[in-house]
Amino acid sequence: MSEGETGDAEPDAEEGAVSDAFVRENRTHVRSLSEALLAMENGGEADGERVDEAFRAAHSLKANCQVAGLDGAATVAHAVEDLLEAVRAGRLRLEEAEVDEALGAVEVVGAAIDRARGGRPGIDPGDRVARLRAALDRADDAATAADTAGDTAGDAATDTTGNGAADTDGSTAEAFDDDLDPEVREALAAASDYDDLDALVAAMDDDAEEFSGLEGGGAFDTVVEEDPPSPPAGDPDGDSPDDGTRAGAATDEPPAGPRNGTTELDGTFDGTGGPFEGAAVDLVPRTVAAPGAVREDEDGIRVPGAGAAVDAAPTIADSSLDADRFGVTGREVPPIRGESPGSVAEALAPVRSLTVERRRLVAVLDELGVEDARVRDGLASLREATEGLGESAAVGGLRPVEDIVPELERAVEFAARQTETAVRLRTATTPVALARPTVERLVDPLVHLVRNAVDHGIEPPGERGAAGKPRQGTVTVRARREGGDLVVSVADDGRGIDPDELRQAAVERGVVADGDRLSDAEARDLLFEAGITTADEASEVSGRGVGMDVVAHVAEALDGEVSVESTLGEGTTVRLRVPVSIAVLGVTFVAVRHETYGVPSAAVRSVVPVDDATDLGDGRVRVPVDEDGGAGGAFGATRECPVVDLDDALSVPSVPPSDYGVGTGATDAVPDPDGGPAYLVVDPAPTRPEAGSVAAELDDDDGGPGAGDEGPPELLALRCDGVLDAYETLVTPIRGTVGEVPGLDAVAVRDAGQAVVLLDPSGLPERG
Amino acid sequence: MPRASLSWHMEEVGERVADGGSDGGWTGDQLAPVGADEDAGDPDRVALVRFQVGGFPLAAEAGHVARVSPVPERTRLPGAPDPVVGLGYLGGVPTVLLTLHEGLGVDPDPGDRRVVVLRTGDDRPVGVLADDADGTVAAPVDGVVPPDEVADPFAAETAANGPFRAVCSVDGDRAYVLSPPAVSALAVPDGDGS
Repeated sequence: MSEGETGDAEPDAEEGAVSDAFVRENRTHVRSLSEALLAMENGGEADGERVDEAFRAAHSLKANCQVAGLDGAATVAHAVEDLLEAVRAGRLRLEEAEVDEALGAVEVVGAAIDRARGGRPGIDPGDRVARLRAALDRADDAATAADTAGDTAGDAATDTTGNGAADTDGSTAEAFDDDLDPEVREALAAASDYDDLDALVAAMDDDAEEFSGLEGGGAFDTVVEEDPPSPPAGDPDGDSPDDGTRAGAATDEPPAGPRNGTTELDGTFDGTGGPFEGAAVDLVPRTVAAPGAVREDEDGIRVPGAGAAVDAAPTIADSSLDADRFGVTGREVPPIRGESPGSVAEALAPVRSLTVERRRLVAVLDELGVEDARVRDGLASLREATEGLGESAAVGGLRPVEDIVPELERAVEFAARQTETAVRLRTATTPVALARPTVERLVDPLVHLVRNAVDHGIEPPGERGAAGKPRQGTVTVRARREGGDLVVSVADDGRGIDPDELRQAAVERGVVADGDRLSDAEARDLLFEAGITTADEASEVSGRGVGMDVVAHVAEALDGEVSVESTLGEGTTVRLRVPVSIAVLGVTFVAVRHETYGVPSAAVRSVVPVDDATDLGDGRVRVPVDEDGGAGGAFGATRECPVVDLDDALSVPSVPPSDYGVGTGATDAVPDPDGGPAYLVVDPAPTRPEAGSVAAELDDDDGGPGAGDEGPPELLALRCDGVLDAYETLVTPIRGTVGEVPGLDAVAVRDAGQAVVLLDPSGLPERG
Repeated sequence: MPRASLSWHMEEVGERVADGGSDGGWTGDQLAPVGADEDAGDPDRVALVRFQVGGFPLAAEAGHVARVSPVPERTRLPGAPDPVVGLGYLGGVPTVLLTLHEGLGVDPDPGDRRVVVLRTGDDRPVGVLADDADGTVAAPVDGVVPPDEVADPFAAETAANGPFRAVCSVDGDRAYVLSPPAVSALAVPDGDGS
């Protein structure tokens, strides 16, 4: 039984059940922190990157546990953070004892998270924290002793007394290596039962399974598979090698040997499950190619639809030819891979294939005049099953962006309480669901950003009053989809960031030289360097210069970017922009001649029959619409709008093209819209909030700089041949398909299996 | 991203290539048949998927081919560059479809039409319409040369002006090996390299 389980229940048992997403996310941090700690120990010394990595994970654990009310776990994570701070400051070098102590503490945090997931009481952090503090105290004592010895000995570089107060390399770690409390040693020995990371995690996952059994969950496997290590060279698809070795040795014993997941086992593999002989067995999770994907196996390379080639390199770059001669210099697509394993895109790909192929089958049957009821019944069943599959995959793989909001509210509430700052949080998020891992990975940086905004940005009420600001500060979070990206901004109306202070902090940290001349913008970018902070001292909330580091790393990990704008005395806005590969959003489908297009429903203000609009003759029409741009015009209000004739703007041919003998399928058929020709009155800024909503209020009173009053929306009237229907559906940004084509936004599959282009109204040419 | 020009129209290519073989294509005797050798991954041979566009022999490195599929239902993409004939779902993935006929100066042949889906470095799968797909072959590396090293000046010019990265010759037959980045660039509107 793990130490976390044996910990005393907290008297107040303040923890409640937490979400699966919370557990998954923090499991990742537990694993990341454990790996970093082990790497630091194995490396013999803590390089800066490792420390930063561990620091980020500890900081995130602390912050998330605080927000979730897991105070005990947060306290332990905070103590680990302190330990790492000492390492980063050079006051402590991690030896095996400290690493084991820290690992034990991390295990306790993991156990606390598990317990909270099951609604069980929390853990008492006292013992763990005391031990970590003791290690820190010893480090400080040793440092003091070293300083004293240094003072006494003048310039003497070594301690000639042999007492270990200082050593030749200046390290102080050995000063306490032999000075561990026996109880600490005993505890460490218990923790070191899990001296292999995989075994440790497996033990934790045993706990998780216990809880998941109660809840019918079991998401921990997802965490393990979320970021599978790269397969070893020479085995790119992760299939079992054909030399008699096999992944996943059948043994009940914990893996022994190196902690990198590779071990040596004795024996001979006879093909019937026997042991291995001298084989290096890779125990890491394997990447499995998606069904139907190109793959390499014992038969060579196999291409669906084209057969296989054995005894040949899959690409020129993999052959004995000099790739440079063929212009193969940069990264090309990895030769053998499936779609991202476990991704929602991968899960939905076969569903979409089924949908599309079913549609094609229907077309062929229509062409052949097949009327057999059994065929129709079969097709109907196939459609029902496909839709069910799609819903299951989407439900499991997607998460609404607005799900982040409650976590941000808790973070702001906690930070405001800790800092005794009056602050309100306002949010405006586009109704869109994205791939679950993307949304979940955004939680951490956004929590850090709102905490930083409260802790460092918002001034105390008195100071704000003196500056003529409302006594209550405001933190504003917006999330919107822009083309293929999700853009999230966190703005505060606080004191702003002083670039001079950042320059000074960077010089003190050695990130820049004293004489370096940095622009204000460059100085502000230093915020995203590890350890750079303008805070005078760290608080319970922030101030170690880690949170912004987390933001930058997550942005990088998601192939996105982060930027900051700030005006002294007015506030700060941080923007995260990350690409999205897939999303679910509301789409309004319209007919344009024989073609079908979609428009994001969030942009649609109203649908006005052409007969109800007044053509002003100058490329503009007057349509009934209320003053806020919303649907209605109930009081007879009208608006003039520029017109976009979709027929012209999209150059829709008068007859469906049939070049190269490729029929246009669904687009051959003339859509049958409800009603006649109409104007789709849209706001080309796709995330402008509904009139009267909180988000609309934000548009008039944005808290941060650079996002001021945008005024009433400039609407466009898209003329189409009628509206077909509107519903939420899965879309794929078109940027990932054909590059940036003005006016085109994404691609969706209609429920009947038809691929439809979604329009970006802001990119369409106006009439005239 | 490298940008290929559409100026690779060569009037005589089809005829010239046809000179090399009985039907302008390859036969099993001219290339090593699939499965003929004992060891997988011989670095001295390259796996290629071969196909034809209007009689013009083309090939793609097998590792860059996601699949070869029947031509899917196509949705027109307004504003897309000329070679792009639309968008189709292949393997559940929206895939831009393009034709090389005009660029190669050849007319479509009636045949078993297929789409050769190339996996490119920027995660944009590109489907190349083919009049016929001839399967996968393993070509000896000594018959695979970059365009600027092709001895035949005519073939060298053809290869240099097209979206090709190599020319493959076996027993006198020749095929032009597509460069996935160059093909991908054909689907990108001018001025957009994103």
